[in-house]
Amino acid sequence: MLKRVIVALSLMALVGAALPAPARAAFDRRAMLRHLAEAIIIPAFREFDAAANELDSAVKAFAAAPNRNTLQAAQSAWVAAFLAWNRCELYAFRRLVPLFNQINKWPMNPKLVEGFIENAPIIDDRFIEGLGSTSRGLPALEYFLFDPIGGPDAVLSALQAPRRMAYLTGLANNLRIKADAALKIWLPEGGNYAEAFINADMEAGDVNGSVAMLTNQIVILLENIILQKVFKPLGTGEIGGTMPELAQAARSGQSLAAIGANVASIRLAFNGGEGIGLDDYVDSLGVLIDGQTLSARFNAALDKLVGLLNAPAFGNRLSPLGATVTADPFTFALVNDPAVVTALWAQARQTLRIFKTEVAANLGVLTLFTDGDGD
Amino acid sequence: MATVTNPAADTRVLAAYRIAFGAVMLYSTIRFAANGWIADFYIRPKYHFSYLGMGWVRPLPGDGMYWLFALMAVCAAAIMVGGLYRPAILTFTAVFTYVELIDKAFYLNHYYLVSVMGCLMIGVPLNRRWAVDSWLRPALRADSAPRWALTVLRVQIGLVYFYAGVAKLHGDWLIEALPLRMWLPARADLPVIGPLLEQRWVAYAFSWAGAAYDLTIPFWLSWRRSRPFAFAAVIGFHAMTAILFPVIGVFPLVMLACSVVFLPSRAVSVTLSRPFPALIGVFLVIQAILPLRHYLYPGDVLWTEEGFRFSWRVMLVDKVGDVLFTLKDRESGAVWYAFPDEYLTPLQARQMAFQPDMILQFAHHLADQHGGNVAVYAEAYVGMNGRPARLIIDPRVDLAAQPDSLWAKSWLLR
Repeated sequence: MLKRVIVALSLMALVGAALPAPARAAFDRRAMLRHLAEAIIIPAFREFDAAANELDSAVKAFAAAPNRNTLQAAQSAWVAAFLAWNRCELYAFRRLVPLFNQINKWPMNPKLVEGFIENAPIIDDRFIEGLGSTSRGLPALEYFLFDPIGGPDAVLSALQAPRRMAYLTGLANNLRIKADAALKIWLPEGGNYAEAFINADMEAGDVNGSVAMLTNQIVILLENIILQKVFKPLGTGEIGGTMPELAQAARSGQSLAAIGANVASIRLAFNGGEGIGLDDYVDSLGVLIDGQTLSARFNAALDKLVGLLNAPAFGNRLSPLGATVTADPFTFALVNDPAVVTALWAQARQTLRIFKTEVAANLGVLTLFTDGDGD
Repeated sequence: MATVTNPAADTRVLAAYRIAFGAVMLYSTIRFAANGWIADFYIRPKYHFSYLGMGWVRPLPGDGMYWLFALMAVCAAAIMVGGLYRPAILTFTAVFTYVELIDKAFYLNHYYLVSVMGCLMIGVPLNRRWAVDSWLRPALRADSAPRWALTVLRVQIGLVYFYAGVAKLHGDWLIEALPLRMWLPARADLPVIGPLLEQRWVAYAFSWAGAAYDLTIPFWLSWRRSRPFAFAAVIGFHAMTAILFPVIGVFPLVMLACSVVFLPSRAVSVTLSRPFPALIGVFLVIQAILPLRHYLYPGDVLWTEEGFRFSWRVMLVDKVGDVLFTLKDRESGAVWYAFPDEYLTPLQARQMAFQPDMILQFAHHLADQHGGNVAVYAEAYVGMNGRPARLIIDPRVDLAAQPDSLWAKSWLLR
């Protein structure tokens, strides 16, 4: 019996070997991943690293000579770093999440921060490094640098307290260190995660494969936009009423810009910029829906989303929080024209649906964020 | 009650199956724990999707679930070595089934198969050879066992394969080669066969061959002349599924272990006979009928999922859902939304999003959470086999007012 089974298996193997195999796969996924890693992802982290270094310098200059000009420079540097980070947020692959939290975990905890300022024996770089994620990073920096009600004078006044200024400079320095670390993870001289990302490819077809991970990250970021960045401030939850204070960056007026940066990063990763991207991969599968390629359908949904982000209702208005320096178009629209925010939310959901049920499904990857068997 | 005395079953086959089953279960239990899934599946979730009428099956508090899995591992080892076999298989099956009944979000066909085989194994003498029991109690040793002992196991495995094959006689599977047409190209990175997997004809070949395999393999395994080739096909098939779809976990191992029951049974002299237990007969009849119950419901079972579970629809469909719940206070008229992600684990949320009975169950849970006097509506979009998502539930229907039952769901958009 066993001999016959072995003979039969050998025959099957011989027949399989005799089948004409194509010389190579029709689509070079590895080339796509290499392009995405080298031309899209690493430059995004490089940009953030540079912006975080600029921010650190600007904050140091501000601390050395606190005035309106140096404050404005620090605020501008913060905005640049914050938006650069929102273009990196897509790449929060599982093993990078702890570091990502140290850079931009929101909402931050003002009570905790004020408690530290009040009670910490000493506020220095070592103390900042030991802080939890909700007391550090970009949101904490925003807390110190912006005051939509009191404006720059209030910020300058508050930062006359040496311990507050020490906390601020410590935060900027720590962010610079974390930004350097986030970039180095991807580089050969650091963690060389780029090479691991390229080599993982589909990695046994599970959720750790790079194509699956990237696909899942697009789903996660869209879900994050829908639930955290738009829905909660929209306030259609149980409590009712809009809640502008829940917007991601209401103090600095960058809530909408952050969503725009997120969407831009999704588009860039999907289309691979000028090079090879997920769009080429999904189109290589030859699937058409209503005569349209899957990439065309997803890009059309993204176009609509971007169109809504640029809606006139979000125009450059004063913040409803009474800002004189910063204006948050998102919170303005929340209060004055919530319908446009609702439309944005609905389109984000439609974009997610198309991506999940059409793009991700046809890519054959699991839109699953935890391990588990299936059959 | 009839007593079968001849021909008899070879206890070597029965023992080999027991060892294989115990070994796979031991590995599976350790793997489950090592992956951290005890906590992920049974401790962290704040809510569990109970089976109808099984709401009383809850995770044990504290470290209880860890102890249950430890007990399962010990029992699996005992089954493998044939020590205290009967209590071990009884305990293992009871505990395993208890765990599986906690949450239908984690339903898997091969877990169900383990419970089914465990139930049968309680009534089948598998410890007469190559077992600690028969070593310690020589009176238990025997070369033969009643023929039905082997037959019931073969019939059960045959039913699994056959119904898995019948389920594949579906337009999407045969005419569109879906979902394999979506899944196979994703494995184009595999050496040697990878490039082939991007060819459309390969998806069709796999679909048709898979259907033919499932429909006929029990018969080829049962026929003496074809048996060696059938075993080679079984090994090749399950090795291929393990390579192509690693996410199916221990499924190939479970099926390979079960296939052992089809090993040739040598002619043996009958020294002992036992009457065929009627209960096992009833059990098998239920197993033969249960996968057909979807015919009682209108529409495509792959879409509606009415009668989907316990019917061996294995790796048959690719579905993704997106559901938003709207709650309306019946008194004040206040409206608000609920996102599943805020109540469920990602795996639970993903499973619920395309399964209407789970959506209904969760709607009831939301209503309960809000004092009961709320209407709950679901805007549930489901995409099947890569097609554009469409509504699966009438979004105007108050799900909180709909009963959870086995009757066809009037609010399903079929």
